[in-house]
This record gives sequence, structure tokens and C-alpha cells, in this order.
Amino acid sequence: MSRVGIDIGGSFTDAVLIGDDGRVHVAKVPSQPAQIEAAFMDGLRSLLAVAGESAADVGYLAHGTTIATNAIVQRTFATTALITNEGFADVLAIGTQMRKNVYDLWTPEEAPIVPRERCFGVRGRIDAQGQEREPLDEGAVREAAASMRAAGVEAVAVMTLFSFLNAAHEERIAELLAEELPGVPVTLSHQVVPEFREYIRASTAAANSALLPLVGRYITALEGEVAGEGIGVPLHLMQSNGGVTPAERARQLPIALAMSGPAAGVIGGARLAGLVGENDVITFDMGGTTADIGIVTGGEAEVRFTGEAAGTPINLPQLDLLCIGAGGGSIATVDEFGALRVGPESAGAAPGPAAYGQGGTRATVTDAHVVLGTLSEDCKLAGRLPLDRALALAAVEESVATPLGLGVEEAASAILRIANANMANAVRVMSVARGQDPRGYALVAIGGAGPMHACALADEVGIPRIVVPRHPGVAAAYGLLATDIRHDLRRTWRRQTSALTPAELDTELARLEDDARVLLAHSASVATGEALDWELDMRYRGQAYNLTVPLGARPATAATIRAAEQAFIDEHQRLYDYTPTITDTEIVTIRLRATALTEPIVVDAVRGGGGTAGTQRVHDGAWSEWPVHHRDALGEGDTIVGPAIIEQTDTTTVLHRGWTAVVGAGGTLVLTREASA
Amino acid sequence: MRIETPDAVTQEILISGFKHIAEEMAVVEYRSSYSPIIREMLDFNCGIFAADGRAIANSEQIPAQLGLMQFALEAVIGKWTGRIEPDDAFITNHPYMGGTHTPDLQVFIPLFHEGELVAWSGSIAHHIDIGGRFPGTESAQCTELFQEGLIFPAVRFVERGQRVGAVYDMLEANVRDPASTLGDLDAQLAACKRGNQRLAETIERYGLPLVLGGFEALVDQTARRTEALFRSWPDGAVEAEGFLDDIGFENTDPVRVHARLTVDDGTLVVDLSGCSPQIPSGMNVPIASAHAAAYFAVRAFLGGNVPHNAGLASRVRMIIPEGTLYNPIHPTALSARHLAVQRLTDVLIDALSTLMPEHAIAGSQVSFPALVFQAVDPRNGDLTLLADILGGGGGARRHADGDDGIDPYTSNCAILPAEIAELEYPWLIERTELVDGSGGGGRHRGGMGIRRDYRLLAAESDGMFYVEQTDPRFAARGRDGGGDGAPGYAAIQRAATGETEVVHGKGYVTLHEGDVIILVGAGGGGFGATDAA
Repeated sequence: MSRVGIDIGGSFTDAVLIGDDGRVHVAKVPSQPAQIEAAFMDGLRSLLAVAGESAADVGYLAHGTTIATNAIVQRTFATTALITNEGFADVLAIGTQMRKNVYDLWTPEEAPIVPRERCFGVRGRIDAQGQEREPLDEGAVREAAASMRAAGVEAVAVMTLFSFLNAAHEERIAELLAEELPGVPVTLSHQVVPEFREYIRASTAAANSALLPLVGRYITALEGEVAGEGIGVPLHLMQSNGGVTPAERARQLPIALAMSGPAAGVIGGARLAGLVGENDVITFDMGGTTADIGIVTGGEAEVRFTGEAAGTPINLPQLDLLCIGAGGGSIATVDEFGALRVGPESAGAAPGPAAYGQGGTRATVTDAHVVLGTLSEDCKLAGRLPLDRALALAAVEESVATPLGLGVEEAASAILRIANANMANAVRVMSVARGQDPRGYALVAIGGAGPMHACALADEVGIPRIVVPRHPGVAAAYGLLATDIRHDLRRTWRRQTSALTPAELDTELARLEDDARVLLAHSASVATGEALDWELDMRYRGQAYNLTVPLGARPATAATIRAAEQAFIDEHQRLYDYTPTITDTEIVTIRLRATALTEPIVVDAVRGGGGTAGTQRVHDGAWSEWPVHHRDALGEGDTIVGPAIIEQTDTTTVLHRGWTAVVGAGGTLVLTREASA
Repeated sequence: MRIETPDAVTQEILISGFKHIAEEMAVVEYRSSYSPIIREMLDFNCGIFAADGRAIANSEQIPAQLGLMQFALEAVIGKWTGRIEPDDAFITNHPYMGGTHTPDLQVFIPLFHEGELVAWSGSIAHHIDIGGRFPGTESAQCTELFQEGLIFPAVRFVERGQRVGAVYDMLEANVRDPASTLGDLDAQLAACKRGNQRLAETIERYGLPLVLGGFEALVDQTARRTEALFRSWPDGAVEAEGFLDDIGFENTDPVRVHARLTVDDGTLVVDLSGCSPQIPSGMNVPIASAHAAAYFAVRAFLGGNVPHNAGLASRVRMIIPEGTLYNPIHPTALSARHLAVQRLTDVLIDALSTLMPEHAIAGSQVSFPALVFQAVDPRNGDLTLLADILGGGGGARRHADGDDGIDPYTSNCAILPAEIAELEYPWLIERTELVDGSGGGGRHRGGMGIRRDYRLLAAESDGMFYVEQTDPRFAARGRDGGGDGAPGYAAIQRAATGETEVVHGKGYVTLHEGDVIILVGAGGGGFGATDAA
């Protein structure tokens, strides 16, 4: 059976099919923001046509979507209400009470997802021990529901204090709402965030609720189309945590789809690097507007537990990514004091870089490449746009060279140096600032612009090897097929490590495992196995921030607890370089990553035709002729010594002097810096 | 030391690298910190400094801690010069040696390169308690510095990598929550070590002369930027005044805060000569903190594009006569300095709004409700120190309402989550809500204040609280016809009688089980008259 991944991005919908024989097929169609399902089906049909397969051959279907991301950015939320404790109805309006822009007194703070008039407080309290202190006022819940009905509420979030210890009030509120507002979807805070801190639980539940109707409709429509096409397997969707989830679950937890696209890029990049044996990688996904940096150690992507949507915090596991405003379209400016900046402002797709000839006049990173010859005029970006060198020259001359008193090539080099330095800082934040030495990692260059900057970026941070996948432009769609089905479960459980018994810990683990089994059952038809990975959030007693460390398999024993504690002590030492004066530790949260494994990917060998396709004049300090290769002509084992340009329809790889490229498994390029360089 | 001026591009790369180092230090500090003041409220800052103590780059946490470490570092250098060794660390908090108030411990570590002192890393953090008369140390009701806890007059507490046991022993014996204090100090040291490690790597990569050239280029570029922006401001002098409710004790007179601003040849002169003489309470302001208030107001009106370093400081001239509210004479008390810092910021914003009416903004609240109470938790017998800070209303703008529930200006502390208050301390949070109608009216209304009710679940607790701006005459001012915000207040409900009584805004009280203390932040001012039509 074939496996199909379809990733819908802002401009293009990418589709990848991997057949039983390991052969990879790729299709790219324009996205259609007005009819998202239509682009999905176009992509699917084009792909099946290219591969010569039918819908009945599809044995697995995974989807990456920006539907939640776009709704968050554009704030196209459902009319949502919040029910909480009396006296706390302003929990969303107050938030942390912190300001985003401390020095900007003139711009209002972003409004909460649920406005004040749709937030309702009802009497009833659970205390910090999980005991009921005051019973729930059910009449008040029904009254609130009546007000919601009058206000046309489409979704409801429920957050009561200490629901992560005792959910009785939240669950009773859900029952009452089901009676009063039948058919209106509800999010209970303890189900999305079973942890303390009431604001972040409320904001996560509110954001999730606000997406329920839209994402629910989308998934239902898509499932109908897919089934109508004759595909018999359940649809899976990519989540921010780097794993996919069955449609059934995505419908209930749409907020987990918010970072679907970038997460797929990290996973795709990491798995593609795995084809050539690289398991410690920094993923570098550079497109037109932004660059996303991720870090994968021992094949596992780093995860963080907080994020943000529409200006409010979201507490769900998501891949730890750093997104900075550096892309091919990033604009270079020189201010009145002679400071050169590149990005975050971008020329976008329209007008785009000056070289596109669509009216852009400000110099961009792409223009700098055109001036220096690393992008040739004949190279058609994304297979469509011819580049105009004269326009690029004029833009770089006017925006940068003249104000700084530099020659035009020097100015173009300066633009690239600044852009590379910004990205190098981002790589340092993701590696050295987290206690990882980038010199032990390989850089995976994906996205349309990643392979153009990879050598310079690797030089800047001391990374010795670079991996450029066969199709860097569709790495995210590939990631959909390379990842597993993943559910993250957790429970706040605060105990001093020295005072707990293995049996009481194991009882908690068993409860989480029961919940996980229910979720895993949804994917039974496509899973080839499963894995349960346990983790503990630990801290030194009195600290507020936790570190997450692995806990051995069940049953919990004195030895597995001791090993986790030691892992915490070691990790604290590694990250912060000290062991504190007071060394008692405590457990804060138990985490379970439940994975349903999907088939591992095999890719077929690539046989090229060989030979160079001519030369190109490139400026790197001085003008010289660089050989140009076509990626399609390269076969496994071929070696190219830099400097050279390697062109393909979705990107250009710039191989600097001092670097050598070897074609590895699946056509993957592995770039290595000479030891002496 | 040889200095080499970097080219324009290398300069930008070095500058952004310095900033990243300071931010990485900040991450190390808060992620491994203990007390909620640092970890939840971010009341700290990290920075790197030139060998002579000039500020080069800072992390950006709360502005009240920004732009003042150089005063303390100058004192360290002045005292120790010639005797500073690699892997030494210095601790200082002396308000009359460049420090702020005693709970702000500042740590500095020198960086040596080939035997020469080339730079410093530093950290300032507000510790939950540094001893003294009141839990949490700071109180308006202190009357001399000696009631404000342990004082470190630029002390070397790590000698060539070895901790000086005596300093740690003294610290542990003199503070109410030694575990937090020692833990936070560990975090500060770790942050400074990280800063020096990154600076050393930068020197390794670019060479010392270029890095030092980068320091100078950043300071020089900032000074030129600041100067040019000041030249673009309108000429002439503006002034504004405001008042603190009282000196901190009941039935005392309001305290005048006055500023006169003059733009003179690319320099801004901030003249505080019109302020009240120093007062016999803990509400005076150390001179370093007065500078932080001015830098905040100025940076806001410079448009947020001017970084904080010695270059900015060189274009802002402060005139603060000795013996006045913002430059008191040793040993005047000053632990509760923040109230007057916020009021000064508000006065400066008012003056700048007059100077540049197109950017005018109504007054934000400066009530700064805060409390620190100690109590034994009946659940585990631990002595706990609950600390919290509440927000109030932001000032309305020409085109928008003020923000609800913010901790404005030089402050930006988070509110303590109710669930943490109840899990870790013997208190029940009965309500946390916005106060309807507390924002000043107008075409755009001022932001609303926050009310929070804390019920004691332990047998007894004593502690201090304060709420400024309780006098309606000094409420957050409306602008262009907008109304003033509502004042803040503090109230106590006694379980024994069930009655709620509004109390004087600054106090030290003992509560009993079931008593409730209620703090309410003031509202912000409105902007523009309400349309008659």
C-alpha cells in the first residue's frame, strides 16, 4: 500500500507519495485559501496521477494544515463563552497582567479571545487539596447558559480552580451545558491542560473552544471528500508536537494543530537526515519570509510546553522552534545612522524581490544572491519566475551600496552577512543557550532558501556537516509520512522525591496509561506497533521552572525513580552549570508520550546521468567561474568539490569553497567542510 | 588595550551578539531561580559591561532594574581596583554605594583575557527578603536604612573561584527565607558565569581589539542616535508635578514630585530640584533608581529604538540636589522606593506629553498594590512568605482605551496565579477581578484596576502591604478633557466581626484565621471629552 502526505501551505499544497517499492513521487499545486478542501483534493489527484496509482492503493493518509494557524492569525474565532468560578470571570482579561511592549505606551494590548461580556462566574469552589469547599451553583450555570444562548454563543470553555485535582465541577458544568445548549461544543480546561496556573489553563481552553466549530466542519468536509474519492483509511492530521493524530481526536483538540506546518518541517528534515545516518541535527527551514530553526538530538525533536496563540499563552507540548524574520524576501535597509538591517520586514510574494520585476524596488536577500551570481538569471525560482539582474543591481545599489559608500558586490555580501549572522544567533539560541554544542550536529537545509545559505550559516556557527534532502521544498509533506501517531498526556502530581513510594507513583502511571489506550485505539487500523514513553517534570524544591527527564518503563520502582532524579541533577548541571546549595528535589508533573508507530520509510536509490551543466560567474570576494550541476543528473556516490552551484526546480544549493558534496541514500546531498578550512 | 573599530557590518553583528548574550544570561537566571519575585514577576536584569563599568548591553526585564547597574559596578571598581582577580565575584546592595534598595542584590564577575580585565558580567535581582524589621524587608514604615536588612558594601564573596564562607554564613543567618535567597544567588552567579563564557567565545572568534571596538561603536552609535532624536524634539522647557499620598504614615502631608525638562543641544536635562526634601520614611528613592525612571520615560518617547547603554546615559543629564526625595543622604530609609519611582515616571510622561501633544497619553495608575505576609502553613508546618503585586488601569490614548489591569511604566510584574497562592501558601484567593467604572471616562476610557481578596487559612500572619494613589486628588490624570481614574485602596475584613474597614494605604498588620485583606489598584485616566452629540 502507498503512503500519502499532503501539506497545505500559504502558497502551495505539497503532496508526497511513497510506494511499497520506496519510490518517491511529488506533486505541487497552488493552495486555494477560499476552498481549502479543493486544493487538498487537487493535490491528491495530481499525485495519484503522477504515481500512476488509484485511491484504493492508499494505505495511509496524513495531512498538515494551516487552518488553525490562519484562524489564529486572522482571529476568525467562533463566538465563544467562558464559565469559571465566581470572582474569577476576568481571568482572561487580567491574564498575567504583564504588558507585551513595555516601552510602547500607545498600542493597546491584544484583546482576549473571549470578551468580558461572555465570561461568567458561578459559585462553587474546589480547594488546593482537591476537596469541595463550596458546592456548585447549578442554577447559576443554567442562567449563564441562557445568556449565552441569547448571545448566539457557538462554543464554550470551562475553567474552574483546581480542576486538575478534582474535575467534578467542570464535568457537571459540561452536563448542564449539554442540556441547556445542545450541540454547542465545550472544552474543559482539565482535559486540555491538567496542570496548575489558572490563567494558562483558561486561555488554552478558550483558544481551543474558539477553533472547535471551524476545524470540526473542515475535518468533516474533508473526510467526506476523501471517502468519496474511494480512500478507505482514516485521515490523520499533523500536530504542533511533531506527531500526527487521528481526525477524531483533532476535532476535539484543534489548538494542537496550531504549529502543524513548521513541526512537519522539523520532523521531515530530521527523518530525511536519518537516511544518511545523521541523528543529531539542527533543522534550518528558510523560505520567503521566515527561517525556522529546530533541534533534534538522538532522533528526538526538542519539545517545549508553552506557546502562544493570538497573544495568549497556550500550554500544550509543541516542537521547540525558533522562527525569525529572515527569508529570501527579507528587505535590507540602512537607517540614517548607517546601521544595516535585514528583515524582519519582507517583500513577500508581491511585489517580491526587485529581481522578480513585479514592482519591488527595495533590496532583498534574493536580490543579493542575484547580484553575486549565486542565483542565475536563467534559474526560475519555484519553477516560475525569471530573474532580472539589472533590477536587482539597481535595488542593492540604491538601498545599501550608496548609503554605506560600498561597491555593489560588497553591499550584496553585506546583506548576506547580516542575514546569516541573524540566523546564526537563532541557531545559538537553539543550541548553545540550551547547553548543546552545534559542532556536534549536522545542519539540515530545507525550504526554498535553506540550501543557499547553509554553507555560510554552518561556517558561522562551526557546524561541520550539512544535509540537503533530495526535495528540500517538500520536506514538510515528507515529514507527515515520516512521523508517528502521537498523544501527549500528563497529570500534575506534586511530591517530594524522597517522600514518595514507587507504588503510589505507579498508580498514577496506570491511570494515564488507561487514558492513552483509549486514544491509541483510534489508529489501530494503521499502526504497526506502539510505544509508551514516561517522563517527569522535576525541580529543586522551591524552584518554579521544571526540567523534563525520562522515567523508565512501568512499573515504577525505587531504581527508576532514582535514575530519573539523577537525570534531573545531571540536566540541571548541564544547562545551568551549577548544583544548588539546597538539593532536595520534587516531582511536579507526570508525562506520557503514547506513540502508535507507522511503517518506517524506505526510499529507492537514485541513479543520475552525471556531468556538469556549464558554469556561472559568482562573486565571493572576487568574480570567478563556478561549475553548475543539475540535481536530477546526480547519482549516489557522485562527489562535487566546491565551489559549485547545484540547481533543481525547488531550490539552489550553494556549495562554498572548502566544502565537498557527496550524493548519499535517496539522492540526499551530504556536504562536509574540509578539516583544514 | 588595543581597540580596533569594526566595519559597519561587523559592528551590527557584534552588537546583536552582545544583546543575545545578555538575554541568554536572563534565561539562565529565571529558569533556575527560586523566589516568585524573580521567577513569576521577572524583577531582575542581566547585563554586560566594559572594563571601566560602562553599560554595554542589557536583557530587557522590568525597566525599573534597567540602566542602574553601572552605578553599583563603579563602586565595586572604585573599591577593589588593582586587587581584582580572575574568578572573583562581588556582591553589593548598598543604596549609598550606587545600589538601589537592599533587597536588590547585585552580582558582578570580571572577565580576564590574557591576564587583563576586559569586561564584566552583572546581574541584579530583587530577593524576597534580606532581613530587617519587616517580612519582605521593604516597607514605607522604615525610618532609617539600618531597619532595611543586611547591607553588602561591594563585598568580594567569591575569591578566585572559592566561595567566602563567612559571607554565606552571615547571609543565611540574617534573612527570613534563606533557601530562596541562597538559591537565587546561585542563579545570579550562574547567569554571570554564562555571560562571561559567551563574551570569552566572542573574543576568541573576533579578537579582543574588535570586541572592544564593538563596545565603543555601540555606545557611540546609541549616543549619536539619542542626540539626533533629542534635536528633533521641540525646543523649550516643560514641567509637571504630582504627589504621593503621604510619607507613609497616616495623617501626614502629601509629598511633591516635580520635574522640569529641557532639551539643550542634543541633551535632555531632567531637573528634579522642585521635588520634596527627603522624608522620614522608607519611601525615598536611591539616586540610581531615579535614573531608571528617567531612562524609561525617555526611551518610550524616543520610540523604543534606542537600546539602553552608556551612550543613552551620556545624553540625559539629571539634576537631583542632595537631601531631596530622589537623592537622600545616608542613612535615610528607602526600601519602599518603587512608589515614588512610579510617580516620578508618571510626572515625566506627563511633561513629555505636554512637549509632544501628538504623542500625549493619559496617566496610568501608580498605586502599585503589593503585600508580603509571613505565616506558618498548617498543612506542613513550613514558614511561608506570600508576596504579590497587583495591576491597575493604564492611561487612555488619543485613539484607544487604556489597558485594564496592568503594572505600568518601569514595572511589569506578573500577578501571582491564585492556584500557586493556594497550593504553596496558607491563603484562599476569594476573587481577582476588574473594578467596573474605575477607569476615567472620556472619548476613550482609562483602564480598570484589579481587586484581589486574600483570606488567611493559617492561625496568624503578620506582614506589610501598601497601596499608593488612594487620595482622589492624586488619581491617574485624564487628558484633553478625559476623566481621572478611581483611586486605589486597601481594606481588611475581620472574621471576628464580619466587618470590612478601609485602612490607611500603607501598613503593617497582624491577621488571624479567616481575616481577609483586600487590595484594589487604581484606574487609569481617560482621554478626550465624551462627545456631547
